[in-house]
Amino acid sequence: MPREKIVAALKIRDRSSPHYLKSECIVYLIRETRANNDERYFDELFRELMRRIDASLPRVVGERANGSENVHAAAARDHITGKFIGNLVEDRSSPGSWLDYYEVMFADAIAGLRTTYMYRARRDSARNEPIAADDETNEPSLAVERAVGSFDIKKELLSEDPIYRSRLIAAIRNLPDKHRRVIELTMTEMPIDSSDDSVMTIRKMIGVKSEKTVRNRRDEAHRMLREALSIGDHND
Amino acid sequence: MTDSHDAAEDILLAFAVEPRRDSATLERYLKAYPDLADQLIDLSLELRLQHATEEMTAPTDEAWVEASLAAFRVASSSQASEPVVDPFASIKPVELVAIRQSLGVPSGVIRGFSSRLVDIVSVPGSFIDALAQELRTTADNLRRFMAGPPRLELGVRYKADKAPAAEQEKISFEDLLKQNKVPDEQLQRLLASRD
Repeated sequence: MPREKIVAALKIRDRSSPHYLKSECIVYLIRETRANNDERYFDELFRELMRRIDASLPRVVGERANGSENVHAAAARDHITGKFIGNLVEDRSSPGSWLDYYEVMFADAIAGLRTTYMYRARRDSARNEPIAADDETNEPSLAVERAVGSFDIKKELLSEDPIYRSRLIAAIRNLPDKHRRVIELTMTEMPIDSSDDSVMTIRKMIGVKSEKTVRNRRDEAHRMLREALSIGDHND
Repeated sequence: MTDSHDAAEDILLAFAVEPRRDSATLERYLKAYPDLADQLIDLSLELRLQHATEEMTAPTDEAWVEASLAAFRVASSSQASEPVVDPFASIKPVELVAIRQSLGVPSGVIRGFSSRLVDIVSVPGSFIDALAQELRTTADNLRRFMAGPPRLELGVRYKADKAPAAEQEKISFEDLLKQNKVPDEQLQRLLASRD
């Protein structure tokens, strides 16, 4: 494909268009520019990749938008770009395998880098915060019991309303770590507990003694999500 | 950043691009890398959420895009990890004689370059261009080669009883010319085009 056509295709935002260039393809093309000196063409490819990185990173919305989470998110974007630039510079002088990840699945590779970064940032800032009260107890909280309704997150994520979906996603991202992880493990359909030691269970993964703690966290997470989305609070 | 950080990042990246994304894959990673369990679970959720937002588009931050491009330019021009080709490696001694004759300098001056003794910043651009052309390389490659520390020339080690050591400090082009007793008039001419 001639370069002018590629540059024109970069402007297409509609993913369903037959001329839409996938991010993986742009990574392939930018690696190919190693052999030529067309700076304008390189710049166009590079700019579009940066837009794709920007678009694939979650926006921080809601009440935590001005909090430390937002600072982490902005720093994560810079960290990811720095990493990508470093890999790209390296790849241009001696082609290696590092950029292969981006060429295979661009957005997922970016999510991979973001996860490590956010995990470390949260862990580092948690050292400066008071330790949260221990929720490892067999007593179910009354508030939790009351608010629990059926809430199938997997199904909700398929909602056809994009605004509802993005609010739900933001609410899940805003859950405290220990609740969010229980939610993810529940969605993978991992058993909560098992008498068989060889079976991987949510209880073992999150390192708590009782399966009740797992259920409590799951129910509490559901309550928080419903609250964030203002669902069901009229019935209380 | 330490090595262990990079190793964790590599494992997460490998997980992120797994073709089959299901609970069996996650379990396999959780079993293999129990230390990374929290991050693997975070990533598994992140990928799930990302796929739910895939078709949504948000306005991009163009100022940040331009800043990233500028950062790339800085990184690619100042990067030191790029392997530099030794422009003297493929030049035969007889060719070196021809080069010094064509440039009108004593052989010691050429050795000042092949041993990276001279500080390239002090060398006039026109001389770098001429030397690069004689060496069948680019001025840019010659500059990057010269940016390395002084090194021993091949052959020197066979001529002395004691193991010779490379010079530690670079010298200016002017000093290199003076050390090689380049006549004053010629010295001025060679330095004249200096920026």
